[in-house]
Amino acid sequence: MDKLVNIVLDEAHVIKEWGGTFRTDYLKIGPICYRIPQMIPFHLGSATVGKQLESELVKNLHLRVDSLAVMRQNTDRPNIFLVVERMKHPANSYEDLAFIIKKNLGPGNECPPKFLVFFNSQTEAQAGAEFLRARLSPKLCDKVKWFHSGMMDQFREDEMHALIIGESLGEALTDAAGMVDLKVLRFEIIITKGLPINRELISPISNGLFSTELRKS
Amino acid sequence: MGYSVPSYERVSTLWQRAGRAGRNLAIDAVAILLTESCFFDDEKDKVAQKAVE
Repeated sequence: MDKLVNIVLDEAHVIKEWGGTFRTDYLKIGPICYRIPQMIPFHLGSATVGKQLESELVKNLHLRVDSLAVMRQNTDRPNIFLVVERMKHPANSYEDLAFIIKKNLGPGNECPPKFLVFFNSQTEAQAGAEFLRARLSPKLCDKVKWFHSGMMDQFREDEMHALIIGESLGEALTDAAGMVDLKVLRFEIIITKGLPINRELISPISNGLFSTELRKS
Repeated sequence: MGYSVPSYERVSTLWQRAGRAGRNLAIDAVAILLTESCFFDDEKDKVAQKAVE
């Protein structure tokens, strides 16, 4: 205990969402706070923990405000262009993803930019990957992968995961799987399917969006 | 994503997902949100209009 310098919770934005059911160990953090010396600082790291979420975490995890620091990264990413696309097919279909991969893409064809597609459930991530695989010629059909938290044991090593993705065209995944640090790889398109969203959010985003040429497949 | 967002909570998931792109600042990346028609203002207005009629 006397060697403890500080406690850091990285990616702190997931604690609220996952603490209840998915990663219940988060709820044990509160009691830890009472067993360590008061001067040990506590850090929350995340680009997207705002004031409201910070106060919720303080309350639910019983964090001591005087020894708490929230490390926020700037969320301004000038090299990422946000596009909002209206789905043309039903929400339970994957047809809207067809633009990512040209039909019957084979070994001789130019590869699409490396992509990630985020889904809201494990089932969808797998079905989405299978939809994209069906568009590839048989020789390439395993070049789209899916990855979700249920497979964490299989891909426990980040490097292993990176290697697999490095050899693929792209991946269908869930938020939990997205936590694996993939910054060594260059993803040029990120697609998010069916994220519940409201008009107050879409309006400011759509002010800054531009029409993309990517759909000419 | 050339601007900061005032209330992070509402867009946290979208920002976290989109932020996986372009980790190399020299590379331009595109983040596409595919969303259902019913979330767009004109569709909502249509529904509201129908309700009035």
